[in-house]
Amino acid sequence: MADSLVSTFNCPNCGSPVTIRVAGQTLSVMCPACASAIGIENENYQILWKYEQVVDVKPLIPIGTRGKLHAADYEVIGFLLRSDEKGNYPWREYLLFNPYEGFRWLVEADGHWSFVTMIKSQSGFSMSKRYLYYQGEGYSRFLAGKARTNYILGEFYWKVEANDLVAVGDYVSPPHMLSYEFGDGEVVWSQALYTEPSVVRSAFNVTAPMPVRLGVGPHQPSPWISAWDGIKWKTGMAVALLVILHIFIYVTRDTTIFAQTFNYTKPATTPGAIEVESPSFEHKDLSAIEVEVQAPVNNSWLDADVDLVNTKTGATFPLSEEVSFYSGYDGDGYWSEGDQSQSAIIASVPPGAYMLRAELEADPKLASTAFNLIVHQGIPPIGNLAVAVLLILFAPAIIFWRKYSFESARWAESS
Amino acid sequence: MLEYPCPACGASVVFQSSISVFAVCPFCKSSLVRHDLKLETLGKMALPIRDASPLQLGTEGTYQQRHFTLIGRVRKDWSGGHWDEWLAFFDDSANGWLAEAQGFYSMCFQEALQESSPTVDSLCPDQYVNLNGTTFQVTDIKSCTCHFGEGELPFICEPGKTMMSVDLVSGSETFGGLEYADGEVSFFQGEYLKFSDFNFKRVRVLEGW
Repeated sequence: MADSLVSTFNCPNCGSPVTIRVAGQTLSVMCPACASAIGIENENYQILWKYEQVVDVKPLIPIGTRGKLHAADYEVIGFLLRSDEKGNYPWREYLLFNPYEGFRWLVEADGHWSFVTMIKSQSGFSMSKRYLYYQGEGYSRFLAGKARTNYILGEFYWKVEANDLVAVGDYVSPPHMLSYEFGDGEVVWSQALYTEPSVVRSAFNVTAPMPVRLGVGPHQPSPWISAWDGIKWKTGMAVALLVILHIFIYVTRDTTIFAQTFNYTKPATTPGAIEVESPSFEHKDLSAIEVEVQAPVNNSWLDADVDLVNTKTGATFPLSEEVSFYSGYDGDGYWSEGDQSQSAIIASVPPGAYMLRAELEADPKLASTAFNLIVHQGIPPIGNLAVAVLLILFAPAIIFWRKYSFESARWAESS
Repeated sequence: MLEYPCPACGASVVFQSSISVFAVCPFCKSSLVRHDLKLETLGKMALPIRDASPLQLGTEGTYQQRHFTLIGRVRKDWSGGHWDEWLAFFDDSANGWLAEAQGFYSMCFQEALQESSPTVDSLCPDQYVNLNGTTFQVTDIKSCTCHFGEGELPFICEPGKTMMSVDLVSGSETFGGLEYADGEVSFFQGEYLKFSDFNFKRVRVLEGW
């Protein structure tokens, strides 16, 4: 035989029928007709207090609605319209009941929904702490303030009070939030689970439009965290692979297509330059070319303005290199500065026959010197690597920025 | 298991647990005290008309793979509501207490206190106490009144009798309780569990649920 939890009686104030859905457990119920709070004790009904007027508050999910939420059936039995102390920030709380699972809360604030379970078994919580640990998760304090109950509908397992003002505080660890309510010398802690509006909507068959989500909820899980976690290692590996590939190509390049020793002799007029021209050499593929100037200068310098000239088209790629090397001994011993070899890279040189035309100028103290002009091809230009890395970083950078903005929006609402 | 005829109505009254000394006749609701050979009638137990508890006498469950049956209950009222303490009789003859309040469930067992217990006046919420080698935090201290009892119980259930109840917690699941009545203190230790953890059978069938 099934026992009924539903009971109906007449309001001691106005005589209207009042239904309670959890008879034997409910300690107070609001009369829907006259807004009296009725206390229930062992089948005795008495008026506890009364609102001055009946306010036409229509909860989005009406009292008596049943729905399956987070794996159990719940019936909405009570509704609280609450706000901060000044009444600027309202939110709504629905008391849910299942005879086997007990009571839960469904809370809606700025379109963000929470499924709330009271915590009986906690130790080490304190309203003054900045961080709390619960079931292996760390929670950071989000805000602390006061909450006022502005209007009440339905039934409750305690005696409701009008204009109840309690201290409240939230700690977040998305998708969870720990909250306390402190009033009458008793602290009650609860844990909220962020619940998508679409889940609430289908659970309770809400046909009216759901309240629009404003901003980021305090414990709303960031969609960008998993995206970032998914992409960060892949990005790192892709960049590392490119760098390794670049180094590999650079180290294993062996494509000297021209090398010859020339002589520099100081020109008659100073300052003045001499010119040299190389024979023609073949450049096979479209690739970068590196022109290297080597000169055994010591405590002097040799400037080379080198043109790489296509012998057929006359296309000219100019570059300028200064070889300078200084060394000596001082109190600290041997020192040196500069390098006897310099090179410069020209990217994307089309294939064809080329020659070098160089104009050389040197330290006036230098009477003559031999120098080498060497041409390599197949050089990986560093610019290519940079562009590739930038392209790879494009999407991760956007995700990182979105993740950062999401957290900024979340914490902008904290106190 | 012992069986006696009810001195008031003659119905059969069963004592399954050896620790039980008190029973409420399932038929005429007489309060009965067990003596060696017979039962003594104390009066009638007034049971509530409305009861929202999902559990009932005869509900079966498991705790740590051990099967138990609920054979007795005592309801305690406090200023903010009530809770039920169900006597869980295990197949191996052990006795536990299943406390149930607003959908919160805990299974606990009475333990002898190894050291002298703190007096109830010396305790306050949030304070830490060491009991039988475990550090507990006091979460709640309240006065409560026995409302009614049913089934069989290891003490004489007197409606209207007041006692002090102290809730303790250690870690996030370990539950402790101290009960002060008749100048004596009892200590219980156990854990909080979910309804589904017990795999209950023969729970109350509630209309519409």
